[in-house]
Amino acid sequence: MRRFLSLSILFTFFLCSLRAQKVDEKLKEEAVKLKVIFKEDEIAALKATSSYTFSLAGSSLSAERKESYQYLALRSNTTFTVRNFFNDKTYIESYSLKSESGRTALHDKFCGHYQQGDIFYSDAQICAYRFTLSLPGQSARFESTLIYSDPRYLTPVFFHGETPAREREIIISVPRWATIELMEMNFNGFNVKKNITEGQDIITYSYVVRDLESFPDDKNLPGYLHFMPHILILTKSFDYKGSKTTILSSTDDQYKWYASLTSKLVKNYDQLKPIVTDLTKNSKTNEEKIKAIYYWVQDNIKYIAFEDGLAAFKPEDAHEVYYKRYGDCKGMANLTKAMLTVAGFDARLTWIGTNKIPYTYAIPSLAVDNHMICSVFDNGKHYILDPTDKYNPIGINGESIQGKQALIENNDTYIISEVKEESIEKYLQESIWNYEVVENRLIGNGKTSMEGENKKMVFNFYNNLEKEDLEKFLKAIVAGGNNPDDFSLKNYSAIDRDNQWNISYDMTLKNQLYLSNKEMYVDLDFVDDYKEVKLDKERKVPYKFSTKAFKKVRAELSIPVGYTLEHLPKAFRMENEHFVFDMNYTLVNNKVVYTKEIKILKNILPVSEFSNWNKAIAGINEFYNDQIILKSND
Amino acid sequence: MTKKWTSSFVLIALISTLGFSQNINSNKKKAEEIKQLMWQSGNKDFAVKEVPEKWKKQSAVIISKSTLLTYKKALIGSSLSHDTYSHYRIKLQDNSAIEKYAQFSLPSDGIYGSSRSEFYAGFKIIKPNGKEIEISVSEAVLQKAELNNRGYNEYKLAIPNLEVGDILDYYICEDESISLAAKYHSFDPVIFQLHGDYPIMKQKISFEVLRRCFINLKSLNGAPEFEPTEGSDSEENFYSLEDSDRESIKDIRWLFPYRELPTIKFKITYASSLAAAMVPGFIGEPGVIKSDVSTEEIRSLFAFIFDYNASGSILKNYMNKNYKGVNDNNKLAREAYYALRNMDRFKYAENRLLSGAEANPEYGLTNCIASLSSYYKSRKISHEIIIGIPRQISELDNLIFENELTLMLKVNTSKPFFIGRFDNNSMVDEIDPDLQGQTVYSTSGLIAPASWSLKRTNIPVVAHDQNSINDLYKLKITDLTEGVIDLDASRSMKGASRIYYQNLLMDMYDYQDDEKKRMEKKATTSKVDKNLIKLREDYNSNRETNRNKSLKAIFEENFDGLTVESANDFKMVQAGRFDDQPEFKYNCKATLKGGLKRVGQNYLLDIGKFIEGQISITNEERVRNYNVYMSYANSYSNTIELELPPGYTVQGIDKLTSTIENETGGFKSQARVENNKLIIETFKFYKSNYQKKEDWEKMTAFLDAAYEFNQKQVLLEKNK
Repeated sequence: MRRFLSLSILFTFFLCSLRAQKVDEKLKEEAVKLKVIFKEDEIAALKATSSYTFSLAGSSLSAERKESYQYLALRSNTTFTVRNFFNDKTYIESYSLKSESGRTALHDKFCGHYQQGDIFYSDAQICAYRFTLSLPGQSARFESTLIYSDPRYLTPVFFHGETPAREREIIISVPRWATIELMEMNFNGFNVKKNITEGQDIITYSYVVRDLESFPDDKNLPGYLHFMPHILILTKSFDYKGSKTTILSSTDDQYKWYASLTSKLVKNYDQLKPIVTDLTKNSKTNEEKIKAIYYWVQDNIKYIAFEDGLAAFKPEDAHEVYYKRYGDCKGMANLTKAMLTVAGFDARLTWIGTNKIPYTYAIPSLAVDNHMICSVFDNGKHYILDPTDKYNPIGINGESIQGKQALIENNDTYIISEVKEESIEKYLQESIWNYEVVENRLIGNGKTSMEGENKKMVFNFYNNLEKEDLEKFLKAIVAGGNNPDDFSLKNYSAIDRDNQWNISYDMTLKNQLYLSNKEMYVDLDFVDDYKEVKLDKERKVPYKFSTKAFKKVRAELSIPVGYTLEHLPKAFRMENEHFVFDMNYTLVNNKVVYTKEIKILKNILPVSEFSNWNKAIAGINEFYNDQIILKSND
Repeated sequence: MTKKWTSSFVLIALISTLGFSQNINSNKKKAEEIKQLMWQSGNKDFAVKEVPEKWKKQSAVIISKSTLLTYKKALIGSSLSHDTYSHYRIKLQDNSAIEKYAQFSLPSDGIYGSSRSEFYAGFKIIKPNGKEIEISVSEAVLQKAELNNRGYNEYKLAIPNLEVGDILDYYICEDESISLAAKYHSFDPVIFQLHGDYPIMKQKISFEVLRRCFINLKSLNGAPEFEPTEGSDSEENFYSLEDSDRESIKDIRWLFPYRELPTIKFKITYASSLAAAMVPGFIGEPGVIKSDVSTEEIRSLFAFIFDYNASGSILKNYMNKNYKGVNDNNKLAREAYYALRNMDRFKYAENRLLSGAEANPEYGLTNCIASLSSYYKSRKISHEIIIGIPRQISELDNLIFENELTLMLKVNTSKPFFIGRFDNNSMVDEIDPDLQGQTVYSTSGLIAPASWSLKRTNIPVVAHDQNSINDLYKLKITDLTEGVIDLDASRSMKGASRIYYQNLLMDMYDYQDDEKKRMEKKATTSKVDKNLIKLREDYNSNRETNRNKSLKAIFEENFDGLTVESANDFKMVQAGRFDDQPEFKYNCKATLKGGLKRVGQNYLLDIGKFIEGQISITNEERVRNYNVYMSYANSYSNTIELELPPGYTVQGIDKLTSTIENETGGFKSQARVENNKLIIETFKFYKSNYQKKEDWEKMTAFLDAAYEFNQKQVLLEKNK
């Protein structure tokens, strides 16, 4: 129940604040120009500069990043939040946000921890500054200084930001007494102007890009490192008082540092002996023993990750993870290693970068890996065990680590090994449907079996849905986008990683059959996979599928009495190194047989393949939209 | 993995921690006292380990739940102490429950306004073999959050060693200390639902109240009553309620939970007798539970509100000046409303819009009613003040809090009308949907509040044809092979059905000319400001694009199963802001895809998809245990005119005829071919805003028919 009077006061305030600002005519022109280039954006950076310098702090090397952004409103009433990220290894020394007049701009300030993905707790923090520019052409200038106390944590520097930029510059000043390598990644397709200034004490590298859009907000993106232009700063070593101090100049250095953290782990695993004995008592072979332990860790240790400070790099002790029944990838890997060691196996901690990261260990940098798993060597066989990948079967590599380099501990040294890719056959999801027409409805029964990543997804839901909701979920899986109530489940197998998952069902489909006076039109495919997955013409960034896929369908329809086959849809087939679409109809012994095979062979589709992909989708749409025509004999 | 927020129902989200960043259980002595109370008081309900057979397959079962609220004087000074202690004992029977309960978020101690809160918590696990393991709360990690120097920190705790089959026994307690500026404090009202997401074996709610406090309390829908308990000390009264064996209740369509499910609501007020007499409200006797509110109390509250708000002089002056010589009361009464809307809403509409604030916020109805009543009194226009409770809260007799009441006006001129809404686009005779079908109080507005006499009366339910959407969709297939269909839409919306669309599609530039013309006597032009012109320019340059986005979003929501390639060409035909032209009408165009499938030389058209997407009732929903509450009665009629592509005729239109009609509503459809056009007419209506659960099958009958129609196809047959 607000009062009339207080409202009018509020409005007077609005009017006053509108009156207060003037707009620089030149800036207003810039805003108009920028609005033409960046149609969808409300705000742009006229000039965005990040400048990196290195200096000595006592006997250690530290780095500093100075940012200077001039933001320009392209529309009225633009609210924008500048974000400054930091953690226990960095700190914000200063910041300022000023209006054109040079005075501090009115802004809200939020500082605190933020949630990174599904990490329970980390030292990742943010200071965010939110301000409003009321008219196009108004501007605000943001400056900040961030200190890296240890430059090994200063890794990729991106050009793109949260707003588009008229001019974006990255300046890196490398002192001659430091060995710092700059790797230029994904510059192709971006007009990056590079300039090197050789000074007496410092070499200054400047990279400038003009008219740069903001970070893409398209869906299904691969990790940014795959395709966004960036500079990898490799701080290798520096000279101090005549001697050389190494930071991270080679894989040897990287491993040495990792090993220094893991050497502090407790190696007394007595607390784990009872559980290991219990788990392996009925195992007949070595593989069965390994499997029992591996699956137990997957099933019983929840993913609750604490990644603050050194906890982000040092695994937790095995007995702690065992007691708490939770941990992150490092804790789970360490527990798996410990339990296998108790069982008498040669088990080792293994660092790895998931497929979000395109790098190998040829590049000495903390940016190349983000995950830890466990390796076991037994009788010439090398098992790769990833306990965070719930329901992953032994002997099969999870998709996120396939094709990646693994860094395996080997006492004082290390082994680099490649995690093999799995063949597409390991992803098979197959459905077999048998149909007949009963009282002018399409009735049938079906069986679906699953392997690969989709099977894991189903098992994850099995265990995490409330019991009452599981059958609803399974019906929805089987139904595709149709009404789940048209399906009734007969049987489905329990969780069993080592075998195919099967489900069988009956179906009464109301919308797949149409009867006209003399003809019957039937559509045997109620799922129509990939039908509308056409990629936007405007999309300029690669597309990442959630997983590789291999889908097979075989359906049979007995031609109903009194009808003959008049028309079958024309087959469609398109195949290349990225995908396969192969679908057709045939008539076999008075049965219409439908077969479909779809393969997604690689999980990233590059932009160069988009036109082929859209051609394929157009082709399958035409195929799906065509129907079987049966003609009445009367 | 969901963050588990504290179970405390008091709004603790905004707590400043200036100067405080201590962990939970900061006061060790207090923490120990609370722990004793929770875990060592010998409470039998919190010692139970087994759950009944019928609930062994549930995700989790709450073995026992206890909430204690205290309202006392603090030991020192003139502060009040308000504690909320929640204690849970829950058996976790599957992984989803473990995931939910393995992580907790707890607020941190702090100061907010005039109150200071401290938090205490304890967690222990009881294993199936009976072993008890206490979790150390000091392991909780601090999540810092500070906004403009005010702290909103919280602590996160991961529960170690939690496995399926374990019982988690935990408590989260808040000790709030409220410093009093005056001898009056109204504590936040509390509403408890006795059902929750998990079945409950035993639950207890108790409160301890300083004897001189006022207690408003009601048990509804079969909830047990509170019993006073013996053994309290001389300073406080102690009440408790015990309840058992509650099944879990999941999300149910069209249900007002406070009307059907067992609910307890109460509020405590601390006041000296002087303050109690001065501040208007539903205050009873100190220390005595008050469960009813008399009409006299209501009258007294509104007398205060009306006196406080009664200005109305601006309106009176305006009407007297501009309607001199007009004696038709019906006209004066209606024009007064529009005049007020112009002065209070329209005058500021542009500034609101251009400043980026919400364009049409809800506020000012009470003020509007007070001003109008004041004017009507001056002209001796007969009218009633209507006072009621929204239907989603309760029936009139279950009133217990002041803020449960809402107002309307009924004007008894030659053409009587209600005033139930007041915003940029509202008009006379819009009955607040929240009061339709309710029994309310009414009193003559011609007499002073001191002499009001509240009588019961019923508010009618507005008929479905007054809340209607009428669509004419002209379809043309522009590309058969690609399945592209152009849509030319003419839409007309009336009553409550128009509100959403007006707010989404119409801005004040659309109706300002009409408003100025009708209200031309009023010339309220504000001085035009250079900045205002710039803002207008900027707003206008984006207006079309934004509108098209809204149009597209509306069609995407309506045409479930079709792809909306584009939507544009908005033309407003009628604003729907005056009762002589009450419909909001607009035309627009769209391009759609995905409705055609080739069959040899012919095409199957998913014609059913061109009416709005229909509700699909799941098998589970067919059994209804609760009465049905909808926002308002409404209807939807749609005429589709599809131009048949040259060389094609349409088959199967006989399957498009259906009629289901009964006392709850209906769905009708018919089709014909005329002048080479396929014309389909559908009509769906909900007769009332309420149905008894026994009549649910009658509702599902027409809902099913509508859903079936949505799936219908016709065949476009190529001429031989």
